[in-house]
Amino acid sequence: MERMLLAAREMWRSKLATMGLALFLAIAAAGVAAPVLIPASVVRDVKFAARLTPPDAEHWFGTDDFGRDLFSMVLLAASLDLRVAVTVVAAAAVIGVLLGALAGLVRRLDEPLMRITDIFLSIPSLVLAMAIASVLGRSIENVSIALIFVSWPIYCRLMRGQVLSEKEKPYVRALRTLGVGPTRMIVRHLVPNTLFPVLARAPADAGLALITLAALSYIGFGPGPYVPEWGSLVAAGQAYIFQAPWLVISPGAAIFLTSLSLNLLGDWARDRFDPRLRS
Amino acid sequence: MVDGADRAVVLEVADLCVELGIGGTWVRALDDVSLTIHRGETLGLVGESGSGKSLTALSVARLLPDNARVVRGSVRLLGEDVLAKGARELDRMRARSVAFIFQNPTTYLNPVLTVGRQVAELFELNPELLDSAEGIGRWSRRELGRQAWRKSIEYLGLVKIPDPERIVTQYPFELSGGMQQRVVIAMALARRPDLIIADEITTALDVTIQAQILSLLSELRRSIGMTLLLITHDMGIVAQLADRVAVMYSGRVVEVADARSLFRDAQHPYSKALLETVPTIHGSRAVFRPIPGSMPALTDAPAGCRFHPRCAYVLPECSSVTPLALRTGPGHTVACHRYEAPAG
Amino acid sequence: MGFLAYVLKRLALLGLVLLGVSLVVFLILRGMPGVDPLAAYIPPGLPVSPEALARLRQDLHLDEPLLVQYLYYVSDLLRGDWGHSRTAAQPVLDALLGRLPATIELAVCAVVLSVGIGVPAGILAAVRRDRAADIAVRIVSITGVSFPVFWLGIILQLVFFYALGQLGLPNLPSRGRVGDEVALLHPLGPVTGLYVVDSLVRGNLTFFVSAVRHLVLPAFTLSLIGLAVVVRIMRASMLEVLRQDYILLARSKGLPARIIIVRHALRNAITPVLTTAGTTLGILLGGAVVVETVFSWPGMGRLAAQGILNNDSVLVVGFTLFVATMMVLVNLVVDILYAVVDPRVRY
Repeated sequence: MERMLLAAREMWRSKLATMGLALFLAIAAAGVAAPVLIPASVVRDVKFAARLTPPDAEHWFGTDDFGRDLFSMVLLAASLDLRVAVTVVAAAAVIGVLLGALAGLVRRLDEPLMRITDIFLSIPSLVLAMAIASVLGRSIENVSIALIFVSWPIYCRLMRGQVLSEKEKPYVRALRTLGVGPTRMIVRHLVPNTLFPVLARAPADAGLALITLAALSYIGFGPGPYVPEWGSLVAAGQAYIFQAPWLVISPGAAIFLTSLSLNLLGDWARDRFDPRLRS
Repeated sequence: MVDGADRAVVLEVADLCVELGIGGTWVRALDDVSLTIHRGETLGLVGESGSGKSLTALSVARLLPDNARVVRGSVRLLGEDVLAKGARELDRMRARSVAFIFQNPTTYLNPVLTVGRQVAELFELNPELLDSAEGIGRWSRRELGRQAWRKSIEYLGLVKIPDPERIVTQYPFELSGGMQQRVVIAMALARRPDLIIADEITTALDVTIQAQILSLLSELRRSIGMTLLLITHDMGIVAQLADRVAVMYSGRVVEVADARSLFRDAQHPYSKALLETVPTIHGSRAVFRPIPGSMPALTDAPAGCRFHPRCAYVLPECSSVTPLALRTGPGHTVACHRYEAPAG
Repeated sequence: MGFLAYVLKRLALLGLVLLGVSLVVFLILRGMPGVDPLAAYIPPGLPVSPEALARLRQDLHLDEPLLVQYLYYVSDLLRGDWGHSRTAAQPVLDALLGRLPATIELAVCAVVLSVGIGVPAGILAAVRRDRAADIAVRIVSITGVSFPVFWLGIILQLVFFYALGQLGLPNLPSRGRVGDEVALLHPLGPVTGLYVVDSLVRGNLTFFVSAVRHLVLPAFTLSLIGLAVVVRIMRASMLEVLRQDYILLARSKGLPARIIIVRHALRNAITPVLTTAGTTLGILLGGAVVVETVFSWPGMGRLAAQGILNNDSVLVVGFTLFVATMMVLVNLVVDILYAVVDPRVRY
């Protein structure tokens, strides 16, 4: 009986991860397909006569306050939100990993870089993103930049820790005596061996970036009503929440499902690549 | 040298089989283990690490790990079936009838509670241990706490801890290894249990401290007539303290005898080999012969007698038939095919 | 080393962090490449005379090197001059302090809920490992982490305010800290600014009830973030502790399960939860921005949200600094609690 429970647990673990992967791929597919399949004119296709209709055969998610098909809007938003989340995490990871590797290898850079990451990490992400975005100005690019600023420190920290412990391993010393130069050392040897546990964080981080982006748009700092974004769709829907509750449900659910799938993937990635990093 | 036949039996383990769930399968870790301990005697349980000594000990109080299960056999403490007890009875049994002392006191004492707290809680939960003349029922909780504290100091003194009033307020990490172990011993004594189980209690201590703890134990044996299950891999300790000895190998008991008989005339090849691994300066030759090979992993146990691949006296049936325990003398049993032939 | 020395050391360390935060914040405000530092101080679209611009430049010491500007900035901060907020039409620090009690009330309730539900749930999941309770708890935990907080708030509004209201059942309010009629008919003289506390102190029960009812939905929404984190950590920590040798010894002493869990295990298992208390508070304060917006809760967070819409960078940056200070103070308290719980740390 106990053995059954043990095996069931293993299956359950990876079942969750497979579900997460499937879900994410479905959403990603929608995001990629949407701009191709759905004409951009939908966004400007204002039909006041058809506004705020509940979901029916023609409009699967209903229509919004401008009479636009909500289903199309949500799908188009998928493309934007996913793109931003992925680019932000990718950029943050690249910057963070490189700086972290530097910190681990160059003794004199370690202390200052760690102080800087400490400071960044001591400010909550949404608040810091708000500060940066408010100074830069209101646009998707600026919000992305703000999010990158918020996300890089953790990768820097993790990478530095990994490099420091990897550096002490015997094979590194051996390579050094053979005269292998620092750049080659970093690129060919250290990076591949330390990268995986650090990257295991990426999916969960993408989920976080997504939610932060949506939150910023929700409070009003998003692209205007003509650029579909899940957060601003929720905000727009909230104004009509009692007349047309379906308006907030679909975009919010989209955020939730995407974030859930990313977190499931992140959990699996962490378990698989580095159980040490788990809480 | 006591023939335990007419003394009261404190612990009786009969044909105990315990399996461990390792890597998805059940592995036999204890195979038909049988032991008896009489009141007032010290039974030494010896064997290499991994032979199942600790597992046997834990079974006595049903403290087996989550991945263990009892397949067969019985454990009777003071005549009562341990394996059939409910949770409440089990707690009571652990509190009053059997006490453990483990190997590494640093990890077995709770680091965030004071030493005094960890001893006193025994008295708070079992006020009858305080045996005061006045009725305990008339005490308030505060008074109970005070009495418990007082009694803890008393017991710390009993195990020869200097300045117990001060030690009682300290945390385990502030004490040396030897002192920590004395605290654990005090916790065991405080319950006045019917059986004390000491599992490799000096292995983690250095030699001088080891000697002190052993002499403490020796004295306590005499003064309070302890019944002790002494688990160790060190034959020297066995020689010093044990009345009778049981030798275990790879989850099985291979020989049981009183201490003198074992040292004079060990019968099982493994016991013989064990004795020869003890370096001795007495006698004309210094014999120090390590046993070739190593004890098999539980998952790879050989068929028949588990020792046969390393045995110098192996017979054909040893590799297929498991030897049963045979009585070869008063209080002396061996599980070995060599003693089966009618000729002796 | 002693308790006091430990506290002082932590204080000094955290002070350094604050200094660093002020530097980062200053660089954001004045040093971002491609951004005119004056822009933050001028309402967009408002024509400003060149003389006014020059005066502004002088006040802000914009012509001096960055380091000197920073020194002026820090001295202003320490004097209490955090700039002027267009959105609040007040000095920034006054605006934030004025709305602080509202946010504190919300945050404290959320923390109490997170810990009060999270710790027992984590313990339950650990003790009943792999059984139904554990799996349920873990599902809730991962769902909680993925849930966008603002969406949760809206859904709760939908269900508990709108749906219940439609069905004619008693419902929970969805906006503000207290009912409008209640505020008019049973006004409250402020003491601490925390409505729940003040109304009890003044014996104004109608106000109290209304304040509590208004707290329920926002506090629950905000607590979700912390809840998921606390449960996960508590469970993992508890599992780790239960495997320890001293727990085996405690069991062998015949101690009842309840005592083993509370007295022996919990004190050891709770420390990781404490460690994350600081970061969780930070996430909570970030979440407060959103939750206050959803529920029109008149706290600092909502002010900051309005500020960002208004391009009132001075306010937003001041808010950032304020939040960082709060987190530093909380971290200090956490460090002290840590030393109380785990005696090994004091030495």
